[in-house]
Amino acid sequence: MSAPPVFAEARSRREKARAAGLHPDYWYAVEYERAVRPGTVTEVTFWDTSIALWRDREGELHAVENRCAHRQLKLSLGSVEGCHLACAYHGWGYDAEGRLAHIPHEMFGRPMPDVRLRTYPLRVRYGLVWIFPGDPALADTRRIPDIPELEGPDRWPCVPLDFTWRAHHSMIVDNVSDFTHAWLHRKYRPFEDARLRRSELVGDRVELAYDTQVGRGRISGRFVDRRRVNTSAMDLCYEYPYQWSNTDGKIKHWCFFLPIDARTTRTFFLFYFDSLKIPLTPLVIPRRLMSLVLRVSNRVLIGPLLAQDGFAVEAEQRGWEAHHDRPVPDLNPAVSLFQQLTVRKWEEYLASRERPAVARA
Amino acid sequence: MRPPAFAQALNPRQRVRAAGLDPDHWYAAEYERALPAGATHTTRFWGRPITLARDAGGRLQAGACPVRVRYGFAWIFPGDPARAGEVPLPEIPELEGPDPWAYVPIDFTWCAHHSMVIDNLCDLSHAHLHRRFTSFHPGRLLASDADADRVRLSYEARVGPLVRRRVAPSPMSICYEYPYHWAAFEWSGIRGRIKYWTFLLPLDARTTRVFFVMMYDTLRVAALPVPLSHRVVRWLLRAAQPTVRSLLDQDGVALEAEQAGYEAHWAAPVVELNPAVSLLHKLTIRKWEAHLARVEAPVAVTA
Repeated sequence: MSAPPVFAEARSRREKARAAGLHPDYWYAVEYERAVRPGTVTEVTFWDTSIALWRDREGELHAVENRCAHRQLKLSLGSVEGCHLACAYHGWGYDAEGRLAHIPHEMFGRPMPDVRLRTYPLRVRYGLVWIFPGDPALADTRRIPDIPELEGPDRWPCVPLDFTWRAHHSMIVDNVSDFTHAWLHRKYRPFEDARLRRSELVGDRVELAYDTQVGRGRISGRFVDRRRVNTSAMDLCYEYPYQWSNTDGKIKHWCFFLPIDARTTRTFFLFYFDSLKIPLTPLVIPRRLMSLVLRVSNRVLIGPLLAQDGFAVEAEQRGWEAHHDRPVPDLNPAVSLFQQLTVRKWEEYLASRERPAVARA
Repeated sequence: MRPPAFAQALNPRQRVRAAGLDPDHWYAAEYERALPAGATHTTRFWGRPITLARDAGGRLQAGACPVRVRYGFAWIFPGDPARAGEVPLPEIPELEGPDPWAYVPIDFTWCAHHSMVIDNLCDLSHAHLHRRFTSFHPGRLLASDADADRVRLSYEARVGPLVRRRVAPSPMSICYEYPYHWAAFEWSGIRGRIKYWTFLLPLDARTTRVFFVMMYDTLRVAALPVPLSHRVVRWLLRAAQPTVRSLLDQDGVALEAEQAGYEAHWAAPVVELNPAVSLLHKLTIRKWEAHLARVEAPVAVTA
């Protein structure tokens, strides 16, 4: 059995979508901010490019190419020494600009080598660390999605979840946006009787509108305040390279994908609710209790629900690798729009790489 | 993309990381005690499987390879068997005679090219890796020189169980005695010599088995009227074994990370400070070129 084709050799739209990367000229969530404590380093990977994410003793975060210029060890195996990231082996230390700044052993009469590693633009927002893996000159022209509900003193409660699945990012986009898989979730019933009312590719967005019954779970359904929220419709969007949903402006979520490699994707899910009600009563759960409620629901409800998706997309990945040359029967027209967008953006990226850098600047 | 093969390598770094070890030498392949009568054990030399077998009569065989037993090892000669007689095994006088030095064998199999292991053993500028161990403070490189078969390095170092910064450094000699490595030094502060040999078995282009033979002479501790005998030293060494092993484990972690890093970034520019490293690389490359020239030469010429 041959492996699925690489992008340049892919023929069908599906083969292309399953081989495409995500355009690096966007901001990508790579890690929780709290996961990188002062004085520590961790590894994150964007489409096979390894990046050392470290926080100096002053609390400043940095992202640098994950290799020591001397012996090419991953710097994420090293340690933070004051304001430098030091390689584990000979202790060569790099500063915040990626410049080799300190060598702890004798110099053998030689000057400090003039070495500068690539660094990546970095931001912190919504409790996540964001990196711009593409052309740094474009970093300021791109925006991390604005989520007004998650900022400011009156922000909605939100407890992010994340999963790393052995599946191509385009399968996860299909999964989170195509509601024909209610079957998989028949135990939890997060959506039922979905009918696609509208699907449209508008610029770099695929906009969808579903008529569906949202949150019909036997227990979870009791938290939904149906007097205040219209739960019979949902808007969804693949807002490249992110994805979101919106139920009546009251129940929302964003998905941020980190394509680690061609078959591994980490996905950060941010669900946020204007309010939930206390089951069997008309009372709204007070905001200050919501974090706790969300933490519990992540554990007992949303986590297990998304784990079903993980099970399915990982099985789909294995199936794809075995049967990529089989004909494609797909009913949902939205899926072909997702794939069109994914393929077009990747082609844009490949074309931009072939243009000389001067033309891009 | 994979790192280039020897013939396609573009610089000495790529060449040394693709070079094999000349098979026309004796290589420690296994501990002799791991091969009781009736046992077979398959190892590899640069990708080629070699089966060591000891028959019921105690005779050791290694397929078509000449094999010998010395210093507790089964040695194989993976090259041209006709040359085995003229190539000597390493001589370790410290392990012979009525009162041999105390001796502790340790071995590791690391996923790293043999030349990285040699770099690690000979270039002491990686004290940072071992900073947790206070017993090892390598100092400056004092001199380096090379001839056709070896690279000799002299360092000053503070090494030993009771090292303090104020202890004067003692000389340390390190030699890449192709294809082996040895180092000799004195414990700082107390009088006692250490010598260790390292025998590399290049299993393949990215895996190396490393046998350390650490030998310790009698120890003179200032507070004691008589030196500690080899027997007492041996007993102390056994107690120190876990410490030595965890120190060498750090080297293994670094070397395996270097191998992985090299496979990902072999095309990156070479940045190197220690002049000894280039001497080591030149020797490995020259020996491998000589080997290739020998095997590629027409038979009539070599005969």
